[in-house]
Amino acid sequence: MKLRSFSYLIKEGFKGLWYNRLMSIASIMTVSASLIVFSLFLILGMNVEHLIEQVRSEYELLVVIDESADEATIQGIGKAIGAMHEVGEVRLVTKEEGLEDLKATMDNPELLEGLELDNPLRNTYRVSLKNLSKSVEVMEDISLISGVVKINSNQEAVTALQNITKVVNMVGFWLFVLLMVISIAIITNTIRLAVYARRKEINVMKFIGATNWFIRWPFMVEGIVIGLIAAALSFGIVYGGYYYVSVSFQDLVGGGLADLKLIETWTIMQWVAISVVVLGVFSGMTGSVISVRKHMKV
Amino acid sequence: MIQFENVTKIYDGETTALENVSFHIEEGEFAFVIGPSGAGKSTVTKLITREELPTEGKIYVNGIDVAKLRRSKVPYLRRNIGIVFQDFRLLSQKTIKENIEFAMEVVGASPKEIKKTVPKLLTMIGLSSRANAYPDQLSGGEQQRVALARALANQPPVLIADEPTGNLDPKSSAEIIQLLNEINVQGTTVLVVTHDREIVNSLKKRVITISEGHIFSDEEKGEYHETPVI
Repeated sequence: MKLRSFSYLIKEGFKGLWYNRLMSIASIMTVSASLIVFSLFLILGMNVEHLIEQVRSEYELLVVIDESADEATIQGIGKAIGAMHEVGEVRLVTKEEGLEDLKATMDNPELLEGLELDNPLRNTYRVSLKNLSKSVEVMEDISLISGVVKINSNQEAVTALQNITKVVNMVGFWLFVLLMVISIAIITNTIRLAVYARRKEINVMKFIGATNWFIRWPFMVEGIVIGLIAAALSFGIVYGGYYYVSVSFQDLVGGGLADLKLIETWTIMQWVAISVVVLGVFSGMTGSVISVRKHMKV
Repeated sequence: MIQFENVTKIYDGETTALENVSFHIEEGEFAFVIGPSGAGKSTVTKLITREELPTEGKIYVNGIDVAKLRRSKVPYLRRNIGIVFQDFRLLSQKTIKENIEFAMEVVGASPKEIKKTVPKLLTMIGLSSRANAYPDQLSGGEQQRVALARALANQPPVLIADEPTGNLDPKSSAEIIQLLNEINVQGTTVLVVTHDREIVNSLKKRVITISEGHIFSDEEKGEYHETPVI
């Protein structure tokens, strides 16, 4: 295509957009709304996975060893656990170390003074796992080792988070499909009006010998621009919203989850930006091609 | 330049518009295709511009086998054919000048060419002084002249006029026919589809009369015939 024709087609596209401006604005709004809903699910999905990743890296089984176990037994238990296939690291925390750790986390460590002589804590192994989903099996195996009194874990929390990820991903996928269809339908409708307003022109162009692509391009430009503006608008809103939420996330959740963080605003916003632009442009193009098709058959 | 070889056109498998029609219009010729409404005249134009495909037979326009042309190549066929319609089909939101320029923009002419050609065309149709008027501000005859200029903008070897005087008064009709004649004298093959007795008789050109889908007569320097119902 000649450069001159190209600029002519772009110009015609913007003219059409302006000529049809009320309808264009309406469809930019609605397409933005779909893109925002989609972005929210993308953000939710990515963050849940991110949080699980954080929880996972901190996830450990706490294996409590019988009081009466001697040094050799303790070492034997450690070896037995370390030999298991799914086990990552095994670290012994003696009851003395346990007490120190406990003191370090307390506001008034003096309350624990004197306990060194009659330590109520037990020797423990902190065991990290290679694969979280196998934690139940590993716990069963460890509990069979003699000298192990009990095993503590936050298994339920991890399972719950994993289930949430599955649901979010699935809902997110179908929502993506649905919103894509809705966006295409909205843009198709807008462009169809534009095409209808210019059907006479299209007819004349056909008889003069314009190629189908020459006729299609201005409408494609129109659709793509609607998609892009909608993408920019939704991105701005989502960006602002996410920034606010991620900054105040710690205050919002507080408590035991205080160490957890959401994905950095900029990191996740790159994904949001790519997705909304691709979605917006794709719906714009598809919508235009669909609406012009009928008038091409002359 | 335009050749029909045993062309038959049947719409939707039942309505026969043309049956076994053959004729050949030479380069530089001026011909009328006449006949009563429903005789198949418009089908002739539609087949030449490939708006319709023949059911049987072959059609050549400027050496192009129209029926075999791929859909994507149709625009290039049409660039060889200037078309004028009864209802003008000018774009009302563009000025006269822009309407003509538009035809050249569509086929990718350079701004230089456009600047050179458009004033010439405006002079030819005698509307230079009204270049910036809109079609609604012109009479029917003037609008048809603009449509003619637009059809000629890309210098097609063939010009087809489908009932060009159908919406015009006798004086305007005569002017249009005069213009068509001049265009022909300058070398363009002209085919006029009409049922206007006056313009046919005024020129004494070749006349192909179609009746009920058949060629009823084909005469050099012919006149308008009332065709009997067969």
